[in-house]
Amino acid sequence: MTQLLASTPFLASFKASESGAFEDIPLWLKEARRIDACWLDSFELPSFRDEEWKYTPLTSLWRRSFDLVERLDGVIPEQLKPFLIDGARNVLVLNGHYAGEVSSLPAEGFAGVTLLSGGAAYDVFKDGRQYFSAVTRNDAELFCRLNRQFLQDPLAILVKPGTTAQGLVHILNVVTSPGVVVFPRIFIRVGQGAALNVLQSYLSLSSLTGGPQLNVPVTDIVLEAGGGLEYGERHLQSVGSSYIGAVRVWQKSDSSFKSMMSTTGAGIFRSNISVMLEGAGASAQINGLHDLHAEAHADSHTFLEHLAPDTKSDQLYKCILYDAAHSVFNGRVFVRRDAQKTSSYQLNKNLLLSRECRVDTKPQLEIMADDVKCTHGATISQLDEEQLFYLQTRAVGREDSVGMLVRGFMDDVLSTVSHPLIRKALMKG
Amino acid sequence: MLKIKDLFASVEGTQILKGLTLQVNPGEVHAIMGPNGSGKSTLSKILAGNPQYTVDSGSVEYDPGGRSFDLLGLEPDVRAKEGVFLAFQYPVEVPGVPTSMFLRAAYNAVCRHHGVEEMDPMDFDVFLHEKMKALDMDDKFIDRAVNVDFSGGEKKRNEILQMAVLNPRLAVLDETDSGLDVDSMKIVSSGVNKLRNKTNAMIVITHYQRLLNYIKPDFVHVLLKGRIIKSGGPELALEVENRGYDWLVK
Repeated sequence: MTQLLASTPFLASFKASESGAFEDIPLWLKEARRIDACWLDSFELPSFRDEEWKYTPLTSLWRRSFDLVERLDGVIPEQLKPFLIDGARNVLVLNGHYAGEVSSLPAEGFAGVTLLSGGAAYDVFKDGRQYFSAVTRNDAELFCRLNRQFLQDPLAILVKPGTTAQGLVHILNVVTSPGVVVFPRIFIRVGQGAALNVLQSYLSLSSLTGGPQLNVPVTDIVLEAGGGLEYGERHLQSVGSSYIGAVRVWQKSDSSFKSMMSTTGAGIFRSNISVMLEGAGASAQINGLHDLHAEAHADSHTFLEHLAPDTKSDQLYKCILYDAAHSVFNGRVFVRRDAQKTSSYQLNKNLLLSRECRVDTKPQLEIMADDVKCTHGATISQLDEEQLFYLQTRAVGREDSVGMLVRGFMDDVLSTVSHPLIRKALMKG
Repeated sequence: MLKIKDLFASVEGTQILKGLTLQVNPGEVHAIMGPNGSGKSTLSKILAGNPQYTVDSGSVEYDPGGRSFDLLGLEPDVRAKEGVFLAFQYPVEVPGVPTSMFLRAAYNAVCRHHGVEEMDPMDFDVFLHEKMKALDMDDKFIDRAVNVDFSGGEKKRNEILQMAVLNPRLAVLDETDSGLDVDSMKIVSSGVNKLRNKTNAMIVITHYQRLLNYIKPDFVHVLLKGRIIKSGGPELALEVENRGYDWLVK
C-alpha cells in the first residue's frame, strides 16, 4: 500500500508555516513552486523495496514534524567560533539563511570572486535556470523539489573568467534551533579558465540545538571551460539530526573538479554527489571519508556521468566503522556512447572495528562507449592483527596502535586534498 | 636477565616448543641455530608476546635490572616498554603510517612508561638522524610509510634503527641476516655491535654461521624439535656449518 507524502505530519508541519512567508521571491520562482507543489502533493513515499532508499529508510522522518525558521537573529553563537577558519572568507548560513560574513581577519586571494545574496542571487539563479531546475539521475528528487519549494535567502558565488582565487571561501552552515528544517541553496559558477576553493562545514551539534533537525541543502556548481574548483565538505552533525544533501556539478571542457567529503554521520545522513562531465577533457576527483561511531549512519551516493570524450573520473571513498555504525556507499559511473577515451576509477574501502557495525556497498559501472578504461571495486576488512602486534612490540599500546592504523587507513584519502586550509579543517574532524 | 624454564608452546594447535630451557645474563650474546621448523621463530614470537602463539607450560622470568617480571604475563607493548625488543624476520608493512611519526610514538611511549619527559619533534629529529647515519640510511627513508615499498635490506635496516631508538635490554634478532647481501650485513651487524654493552643482552637467531662472524656470540645453542639439544661456544656454530645438524641427532 502506498502512502502520500501530503498525508504525513512531515510535510504538513512546515507547509503550514510557509504561507505568506516568501512574498519577495521573483515571479519565475513562484511559478516553478506552483508546479512543485502539485508534484509534492501527489508524491508517494518510497517503500522499503525502493532501491534508492533500501539501506537508508526514511520512515522515522515522515512521522516527525519540523518548523521552518523564517527569521534569523543574526547573532553568532560563541560555540561556533572554533569552527571559523583564519585566513578564509567565512560565510555564515544560519538556519538555512545566508547571514553575511564573519571573517575575523582580512582574507586575501579573492580577486574576481563575488558573493551575492537576496535579489542579486535570485537573478543569478534565473540566468542558470537549466541548472536550478534540473533533476539529475542521482538526485533524491523529492528533496531537490522540497529545497526549491522552501529555500530562503540563497547564496551565489561567481568567479570572473581568467581569475585564480588562491583563498578559501568557507561556508559555515549551521542549524541552531531544535525541531527545524532548513533548505540552504548555493550556486557556484567558476568562469572560463578561473579557479576557486570552497569548503562547506555543516554543523548541527546537539550542544547548540538540543533537538532533532533536518538539513536539506542543494549546492549547484558550474565549471566553465578550463575552470577549476577544489571543494570540501566537513560534516559534524549529531545523531539526533538528519542531513539529506545534494551537490550537482556540471563541467565544461577541460574543467577540473576535486572534492573531498568527510563526515561523522548523523541519524540519517545522505550525500548525493552528481557530476556531469559534459565537455571533452573534463576531469573529476570525488573522494570521501565516513568516520562513524556509536549509532551514526552515513550514506554516500555518487554519480559520475561521462558525456564527452577524453574525460576522467577518480573516486575513493573510505569508511571506518565503530560500534553499531552503518555505512552505505553507492557509486555509479555512466559512460555515454560519445565519451570515448574515458578513464574512470572507483574504489570503496571499508574498515570494520566492531562486530555490530554494518556496511552496504554497491559500486556500479554502465558503459556504452567501446574505447574506455574503467575499474571499480569495494573491499571490507578488519584491522590486521600482524600490524597491530608489530606496533605493540614497538611499545605502542593497543589502543594507540589501533588509532595509528586507523589514521593510516585514512591517510591516502585525506592526502588527496591540496588546499592547506581545507586539509587542516578536514583533518581536525 | 632471562630465565626460560621448560617451555612448551603451540601455534594453531601444533606444539612447537617442547621443553626449552635457556638462561641469558646481562652482557651476553646467545646465538640460536637450528633447521627449519625447529622452533626458532616460535621462541622469538613467544618472547615478544604474539597472541597467536600459546604457552602450554613452563615459565619465562625477565629481569631488566633490579626488578623481576613474569614475562609471559605482560602485554606485548609493556614488554617493549620494559626493554624487550624483537627484530622481525619479516618486518610488517604499515601503510599510511610515516616511519618518523611511528618511531617518535614508540620512543615517547617508553618515556611515559618510565615517567621520563617525552622528546619534542625537533630534538627527536636530531636524535633520529644520528641513529640513521650509523646505519647508513637515507633521509627520505623516514618520510615513507613503515616498511611500505622498502627493499628486503631496507626493512632489516629499519628493524635495527628501531632497536637503536628503543635501546632495549634484551634484543631478539630473528634471522636478521636473511635477505641481506654482504655489504648490508656488515652495516647491520656493525649497527648491532654498537648497541652491545655490559648491561644488555641479545639472542641472535640464524640459519647460518656467516652472521656470527660479524656479531660474535658468547654462546651457541642448537635447537631441534623444540628443545635445545646442544650448547657450546662460537666453535659449535662452525661445526654446524661444516657438518650440518644430522650428527647431533642420535
